Amino acid sequence: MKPQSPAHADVQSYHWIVLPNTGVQICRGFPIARSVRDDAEKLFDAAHRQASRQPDPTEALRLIDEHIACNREIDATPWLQADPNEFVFHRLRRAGGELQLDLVIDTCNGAGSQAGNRVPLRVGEPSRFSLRRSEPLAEVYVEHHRNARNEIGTLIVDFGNTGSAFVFSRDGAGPLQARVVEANNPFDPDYRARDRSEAHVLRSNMIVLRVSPNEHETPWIVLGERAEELIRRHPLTSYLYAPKKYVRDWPDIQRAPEPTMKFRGIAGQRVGLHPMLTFVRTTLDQMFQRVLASLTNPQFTSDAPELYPQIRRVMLTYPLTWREVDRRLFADMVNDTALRLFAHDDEHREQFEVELICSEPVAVAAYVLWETIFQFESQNLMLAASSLGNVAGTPELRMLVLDIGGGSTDIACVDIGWTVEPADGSVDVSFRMIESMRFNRAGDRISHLIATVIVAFLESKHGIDEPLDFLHESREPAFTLTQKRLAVSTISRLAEECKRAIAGPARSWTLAPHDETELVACFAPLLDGDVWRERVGRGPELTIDEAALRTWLTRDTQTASPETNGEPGFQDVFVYLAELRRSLAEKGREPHCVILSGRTTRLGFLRELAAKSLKLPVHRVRTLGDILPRSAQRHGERNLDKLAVVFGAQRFRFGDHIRFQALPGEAIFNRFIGTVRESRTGLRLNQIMIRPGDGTPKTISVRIEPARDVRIGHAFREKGSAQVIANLSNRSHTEAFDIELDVLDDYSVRMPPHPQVVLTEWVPGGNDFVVDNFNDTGQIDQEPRGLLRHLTSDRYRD
Amino acid sequence: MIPQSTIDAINRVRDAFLTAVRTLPDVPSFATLRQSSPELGGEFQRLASIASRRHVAEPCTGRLTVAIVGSSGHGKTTILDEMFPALSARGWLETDVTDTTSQALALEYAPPGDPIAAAATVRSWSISQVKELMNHADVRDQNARDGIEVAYHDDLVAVDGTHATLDAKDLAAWRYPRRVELRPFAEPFEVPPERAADRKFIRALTVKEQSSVLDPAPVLQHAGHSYDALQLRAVVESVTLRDDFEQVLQWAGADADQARKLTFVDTPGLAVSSVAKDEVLRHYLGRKSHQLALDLLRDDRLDIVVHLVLCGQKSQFDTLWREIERACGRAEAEALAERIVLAINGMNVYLTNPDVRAKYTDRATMLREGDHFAATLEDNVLQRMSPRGNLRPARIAFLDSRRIVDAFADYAEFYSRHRRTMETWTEPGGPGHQTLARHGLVESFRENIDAIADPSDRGQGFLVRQVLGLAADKGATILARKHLVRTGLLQATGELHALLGRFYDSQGALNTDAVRAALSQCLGFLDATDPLAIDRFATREIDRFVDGLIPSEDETARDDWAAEAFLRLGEMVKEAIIEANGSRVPGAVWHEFSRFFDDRIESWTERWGYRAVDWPPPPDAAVGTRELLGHCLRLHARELLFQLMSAEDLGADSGAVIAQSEADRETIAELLRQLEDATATGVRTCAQAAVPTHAVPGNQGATR
Repeated sequence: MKPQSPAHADVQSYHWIVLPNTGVQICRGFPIARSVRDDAEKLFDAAHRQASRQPDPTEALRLIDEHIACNREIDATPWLQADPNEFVFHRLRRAGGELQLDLVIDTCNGAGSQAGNRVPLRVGEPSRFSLRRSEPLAEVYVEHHRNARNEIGTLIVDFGNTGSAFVFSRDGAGPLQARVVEANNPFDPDYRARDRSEAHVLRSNMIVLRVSPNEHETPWIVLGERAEELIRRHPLTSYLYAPKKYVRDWPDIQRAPEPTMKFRGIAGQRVGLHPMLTFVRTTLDQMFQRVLASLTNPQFTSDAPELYPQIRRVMLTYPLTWREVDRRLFADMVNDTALRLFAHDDEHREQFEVELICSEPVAVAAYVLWETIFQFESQNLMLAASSLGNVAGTPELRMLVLDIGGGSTDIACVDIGWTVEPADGSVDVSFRMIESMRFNRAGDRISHLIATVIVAFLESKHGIDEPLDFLHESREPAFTLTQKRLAVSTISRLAEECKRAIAGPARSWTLAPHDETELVACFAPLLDGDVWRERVGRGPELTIDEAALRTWLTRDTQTASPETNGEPGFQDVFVYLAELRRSLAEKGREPHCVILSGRTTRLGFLRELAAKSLKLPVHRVRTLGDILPRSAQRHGERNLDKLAVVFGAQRFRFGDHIRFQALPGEAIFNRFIGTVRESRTGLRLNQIMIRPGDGTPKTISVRIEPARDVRIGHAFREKGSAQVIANLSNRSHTEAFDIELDVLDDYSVRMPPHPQVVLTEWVPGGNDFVVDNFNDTGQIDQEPRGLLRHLTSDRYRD
Repeated sequence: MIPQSTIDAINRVRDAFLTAVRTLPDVPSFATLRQSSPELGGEFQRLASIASRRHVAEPCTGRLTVAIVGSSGHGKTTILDEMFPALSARGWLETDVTDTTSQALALEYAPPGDPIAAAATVRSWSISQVKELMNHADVRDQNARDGIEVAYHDDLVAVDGTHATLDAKDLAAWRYPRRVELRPFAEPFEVPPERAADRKFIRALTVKEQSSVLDPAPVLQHAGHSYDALQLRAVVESVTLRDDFEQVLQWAGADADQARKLTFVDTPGLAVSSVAKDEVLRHYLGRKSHQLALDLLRDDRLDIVVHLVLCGQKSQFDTLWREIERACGRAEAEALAERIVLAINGMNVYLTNPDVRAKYTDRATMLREGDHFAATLEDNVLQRMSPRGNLRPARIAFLDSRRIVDAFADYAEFYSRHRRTMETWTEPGGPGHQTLARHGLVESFRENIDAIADPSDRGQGFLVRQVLGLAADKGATILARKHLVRTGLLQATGELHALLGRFYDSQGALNTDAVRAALSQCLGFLDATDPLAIDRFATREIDRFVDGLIPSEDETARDDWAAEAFLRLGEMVKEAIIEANGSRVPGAVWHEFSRFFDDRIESWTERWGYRAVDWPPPPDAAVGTRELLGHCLRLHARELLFQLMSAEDLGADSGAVIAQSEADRETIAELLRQLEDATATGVRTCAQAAVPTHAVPGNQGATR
């Protein structure tokens, strides 16, 4: 607490000291000036009166009133805005017989963004109110960054589709001293009800709360669970689920398919359509603001900055299969945001860098290795290695990381070796990627299957067959987009609950009557009166158990329907694993162990499926929580899936006596590569041009007929299941071409510019195709239409 | 001298391994096993692939390669020119140019008069090496930026500058074709003596001529393809020349025999950048020197590295060091330090350069800036050789060039005049003494002064003796590490022995049938098709008892408490298997199972790390250690059952009964004997040479 001058404490208001560009800052329970405390009641009433006299509150004030993260159950006045042109807000509240203030300031826009500014906060018009009105109740002072307690360090970021995690590592701090940033949400009136452990991982979905037409003004964005709730209520607003999937570098020639969106907030909008990348940038910007806000003001109760993190380096993890251009794009985006938002001394500004530290699976592997070596200690690494499945006694480990996340499955087989320096017990660990793959099938596919079953249940029990596609005009006008949106998000919530229940000890989920009521109520305009309510309590109930879910997923392959167009199904992840194992076994390089990461791996049967595909015993297939005994775990089991990535990246660089190094991969192809064709049993290679063992890179020549496409793909076996890695498209309707392509490795294809032929790289399961996106579109079971219902037909016939 | 016994031991391991790898595929019982088990096939293939590694495929001859590594302009070629005057006379060491090409020059000993001495061998990079460099991110990006197109074919890389977007003036000066094919030689090219003496050919191979004087016509025909100088510059890795080492042998004195076993390799200069003279290959050739040095180090083809730095100049070795770390890991790079001899060239600079002189003649300067060795040796070199600084090379030598000194003074007279000054540096309290003492160089520098003052030695002889001294000290270590450890030969030998031991007894007889039958009967209660069967059994019968196997917190336990606990776990698992079987298993079957089980437990105690555990036992055990041990025991209970069930599967995929002849059995027995002997020999050799080995299977005396 910093009274202006102790000698005049009775007549002076306290300062709330904030730093510019640290997001929307809140200070709950700020003390008011002693000089006016005696007039508390009058003051409280005056605030009420003043609020009621605001005939036309600004939209910003309305948003603060509805969304700001301050206790709504407390006895408080309405919010007041110091100046309609500034984003500074306050209200009075009574707590324990004491009068306090809740304060809010946007430090990225207006007065809050300029160091040296003072904003007095008053109640009542001086001319019309008889209190000692010349004195403010409090004053906001915007301080220079350099005057805060600066902590210099590195911010490690894992930007995920479902959640993002941040670790701040102070310079000179050891690996165990790095702290997870608990990101507070300033726009969440229900903040008290949220699970605190979730603060470690910031849910990445966002909705635009307020946007000004002025491009220089920073929008207000809501992230996390609150964003999900708002998306349900404001379907016409711009929002993003899984922002990371839109990180893609679009060469000019392919700009046309680049996705765009309107920029519309719950309040305000900007003209025109904006590339999705703009929203990814906005999300990143918002996340970094949160990080700064949370470090400077961890509980939203600090009356002065606790510290200012002078971030001289941002380290990023990235998905395994991002192309180099996508990685650079991402790093550049972060660099731009960081340089705009972070304040640095001149010296540190020059040194500032954004570093792509390692891929996410390597970070997971680094986490597992670091923790294991740390616990076992360097003199016992043979025991450590055998506990991870290398029973040969050699200082090596082949670890397969199977990361089944919300939207994609990453598979990476890493060859790890280590040497111990006997003099000081330090350990040098080297990583070399042997194999990697990504599938766009993961937890959302499971949700989608469950959603399909729920929709089928609604149809069979309640006769509801209305499509939920947001673009589809309903037969019944009263069934509005808002209701569709509500129905989709309710189905989505139930699907998530179903997954959680199946992952739990019950291994089964039943649609509870109250949930069924809530769900069917979304469709009320389509139904006759309230008769449906009687049906809820009676008739068939919907139960999904582990066995059923497993069966459906096992059927989900690229050959399940002639219309899958070669797109892999969920089961293809395991088909791939079986082929991978065979390929590795032939080289004597089978993985010793499998690390399951990603939330979806909480479904127990996935472990079994992985073990079976890889012909490994289940004890060699381990979740992150099983690597070490419980007593040796430090980050809390619940979020280990996410935190392992960010802590792994941190250990990768700041591992103390355990040093990591990524070695370049082998310069050979591990797959057959050639053109691809459809077959009754899925995609197969047609003409093989590259064989395993051939040196990388290799130039191949492909003939492409007029107005035709040719797909390039790879497979482990000559006649095995193939995956597409690139597509060539001949725009000429008259001329055929022989095209030379450089195949750089098993995944990357490059072509010199050609006037008529366009190459599109298909990042395997990568970021150019957004599938299973029913939250964004309302389209359930449309890829291809009816496939999921076909897979689950045994259930819906019930 | 490197002990012959070390060389023999290395070759004994190699012979045993190669014999086994070549023989086993033809042994009928093994061939059948291999066919019936893909896992065994994969394992054998992995081990057999070791045989093709460079230092396994060729026997160990005791030769050591000494690489001279230094930046361009530090006088490397001038020194070699004086060390190998005969080669210089043949025109192979061009000292009048600064723009030399990017290949290594290897100098081997040949007796005087031997006709081979007049020939030369040109070796090229492999296609994968050419591709790797052409595909290096920097080269790729720069080529793309300049519109230079590259196509990668099986046997050649085509670089096409037809559409290059370079400056028009630059393009107009090009003399070589705009499209260049880089086709590595399939076999080394032996240059006949008359060609090896052809100055024009030598210059085409070693010097980048100005475009105004160069001849772009092909200079070499090989295997039906012609090569111009630019193509040779891009594909040639090394030129090997022979010399009678007249000077070197004189300097070596009693170590002349060892000196004959040295190969000197002149590597291209560090930190070379791309030049317009390389036309369409400018970006590729801009990195080639670096890549070449890196390749030689990575492939373990440089045993001793002489890093030559011109006095007063800065070392750029750290750029190479970084690359080694990136490509091979930090440990590899660190291991290099003990094989480096630092050679400070241009001793005369200490005596003539006013700035350097001020550091020992002017006390104030010395106090302010440090003495002359602190600046030239520590700041400029030792702290710059590795990215982390403070590298300590194995030896340090100071030397000079007669030609350079003679250019401004008579060499003998010059050093005679300055000898006393140099001697004061070795005297306590003298300038520079403190720095020399810090690096343990006082004694060797005294000897170095004698050598450098001698016009016939010039410190070059001292350098040769330092190299030979290092070879004597570390030669056995270098060879054992290179041939046995880094190739993976010793490990593979042990693993191959262990692999055979899973199927055959020590007499070479197949033991799979009896063991399989016993395992099958005793573990029949576990459903092999159910992936959760082991887990369920262990959860039910083992887990809850595991804590009881570990000494309690207040119990005083033995040092081998972990191994003890694991052996007790083995007993417990055996008991549980008996329980699960009731009385169904006949005694003879149980006996066979028990024998196999006990044998495995003994081996697993070692290989799974229990024997080597180094945790203080209770009551001093750190918090959490007991839990960690319990965690391992629970996992290993499952692993143990899994291994037993896998053993039951081994070789059983075909369902065929494998017959074994007496000859087959004898062959296997002999291979087992040889492999066992080789493993023990290899481990012993490494231990004697202080080369750390990890737990080599089948060897109880592994060292670190």
